[in-house]
Amino acid sequence: MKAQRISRTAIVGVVAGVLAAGLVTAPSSQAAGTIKIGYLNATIGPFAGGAPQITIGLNIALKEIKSTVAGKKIVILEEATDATPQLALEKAKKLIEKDKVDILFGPLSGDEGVAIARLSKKYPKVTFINTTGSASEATNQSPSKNFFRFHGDAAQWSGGVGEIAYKTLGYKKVAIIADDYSFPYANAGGFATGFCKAGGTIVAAQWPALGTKDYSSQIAALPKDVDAIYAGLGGADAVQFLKQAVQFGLKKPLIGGAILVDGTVLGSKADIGDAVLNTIAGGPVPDDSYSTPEYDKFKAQLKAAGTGPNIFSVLGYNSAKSMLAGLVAVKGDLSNNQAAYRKVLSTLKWNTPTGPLSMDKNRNAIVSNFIYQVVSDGKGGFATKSLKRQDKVAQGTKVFGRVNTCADVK
Amino acid sequence: MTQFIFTFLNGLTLAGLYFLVASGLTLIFGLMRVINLAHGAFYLLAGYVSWTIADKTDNWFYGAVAGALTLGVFGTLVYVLLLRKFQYEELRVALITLGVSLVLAQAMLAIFGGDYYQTNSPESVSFSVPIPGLGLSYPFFRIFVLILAIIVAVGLWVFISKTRYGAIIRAGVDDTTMVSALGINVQAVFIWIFFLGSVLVGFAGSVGGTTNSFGMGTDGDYLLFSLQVVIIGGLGSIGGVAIGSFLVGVIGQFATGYYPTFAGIITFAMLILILAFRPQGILGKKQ
Repeated sequence: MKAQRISRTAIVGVVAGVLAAGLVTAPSSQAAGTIKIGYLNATIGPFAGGAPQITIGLNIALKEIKSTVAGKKIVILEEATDATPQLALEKAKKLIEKDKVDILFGPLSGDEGVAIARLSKKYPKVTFINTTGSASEATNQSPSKNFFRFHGDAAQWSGGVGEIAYKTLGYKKVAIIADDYSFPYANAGGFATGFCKAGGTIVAAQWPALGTKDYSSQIAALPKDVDAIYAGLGGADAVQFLKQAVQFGLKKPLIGGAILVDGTVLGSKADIGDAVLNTIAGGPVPDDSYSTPEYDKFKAQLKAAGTGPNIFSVLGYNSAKSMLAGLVAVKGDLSNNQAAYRKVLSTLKWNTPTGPLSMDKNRNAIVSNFIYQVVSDGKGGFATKSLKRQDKVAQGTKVFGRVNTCADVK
Repeated sequence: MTQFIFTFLNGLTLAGLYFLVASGLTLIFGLMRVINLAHGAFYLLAGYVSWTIADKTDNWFYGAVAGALTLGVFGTLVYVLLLRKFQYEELRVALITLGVSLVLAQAMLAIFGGDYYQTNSPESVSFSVPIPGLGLSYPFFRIFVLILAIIVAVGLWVFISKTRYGAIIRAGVDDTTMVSALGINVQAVFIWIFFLGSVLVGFAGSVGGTTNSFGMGTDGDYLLFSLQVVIIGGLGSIGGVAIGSFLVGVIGQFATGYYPTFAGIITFAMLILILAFRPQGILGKKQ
């Protein structure tokens, strides 16, 4: 009994000590002359392959201003998530309440983004900058005043893909297989809206869970009497699906969601060649022949960092650069609940490497979008060929659920 | 029809993998009443070990052997150093193995990162078999997994029901005290059982890491699958594991293929039904 009493006292002592230390060391970031940015990135799970690319984009943007704004040092505090909203919320609260960050940068995935956008209403003193989470409802449903997205949503990305699939490639009947969460809903919704309007039919749809590691039974379940298959999968799921599509001899042409044939997937070591060739897709990353002074410079910066343009490096940079440009414009002044900073961000306009960016009234970006096709680069690898470029693509008002037939997008 | 045949084949080959994973769990439980909650972490560790070796040597078989043996040694160490003292205290064993699995999971995340891995299958079995008239082909490696599972199943059955060592194990299941009183060193038997069970999960991790990708979270998935298999089939019975694997594999795949949204609900509904109407499992003995 005595031993127990001592240990209990000891525990109370330790806890009190930790609390006291926390109180003493919790700094007020304003006074210390630093700007604290919390950074959420899904480095665990299905997008672990793409997540470091966002960091590369962020680091390029930080390097351009030497991580300093008007004499204030920018400090990045990173937390890992696993693409689930639960962990994203937990880590966001930790960064805001314990680390007292001024700005929260992230998250990566669609469902995480929706959850963080909702959370942002509870923390009006913190500004939230989305990195790559692209579900529509994060900004077009009761938008939060302190949540900004400096890129398009998934429906913006696939806009125009449906028309090209029907009119140019002549696909009349399409089956959908896509991950079961908000981002692929919006992505497939954008595709189906155009495709059905042009006259196409969606004959079947399957919605496996994000993180599925075996698509064999789903590949077998895809109907045979279709002209093409829309595959709204990404990251490790995309690699797994494409690999199994080759193994199981799936011969149908593919229409990709925005991340099916992204640079991070095309660069994977898996045997996916037969499945991805000629796949068409739409997204924020230009095809290989695209060239502007801004894009060429950015490509050189990426090359120096050992990578190339892909959805994560491009959006990571564009989002980080927008966040920092706002800080530079207000000279790091985050007083008055960051009012001046947010005003600058809401009307931000600049020429990104991937075309001009401006903001809509819901603080979602109006940007350029690219539709491309995967071709062989003649050296055993892949290249992308441009099919169409659209400028000033703005977000729609619709929120899509699972699209099973054309009736779902009427 | 195509879909039916494929889904059935998928279920059957997946059942083979589940059998390999769950047989180690049930073997250890059968004699020792030790429920190893680190079983999933063992599976994942074997995946990483065999991936590393296969990647370095460019030889799948070296990877599989290394995965199986590493886990055999590792599992034995866990048993000797951590579990032996508390073997008959179920709650402690559960907590210790849970702790081992948490430590392993975080350590593997630190070493291998959050990316998904997949070992390349050996060239000699990585072709696809075209199925006439169906317009799809079937990867031979999956059939190879099923063959491996059948070999292991037959081997285990012969070992347990036809050899003297197997007789000791079966006697040990029924009455540990009596078996030791007969002059048999039950402690040594325990060590060998834990070794064999861990080798089996190590081998399963090497094979499973080739058919499907693995990474953070895979440990939990496979612990769940193996528990499902042994609860449905009946704890401690090899035949039960075979039946459990077949049901979980085939029903799981039909659910995924035909009602993907409800796949999780359907497989767990099966578990709930078994627990409600036959809590000892299909081939389990009443306690």
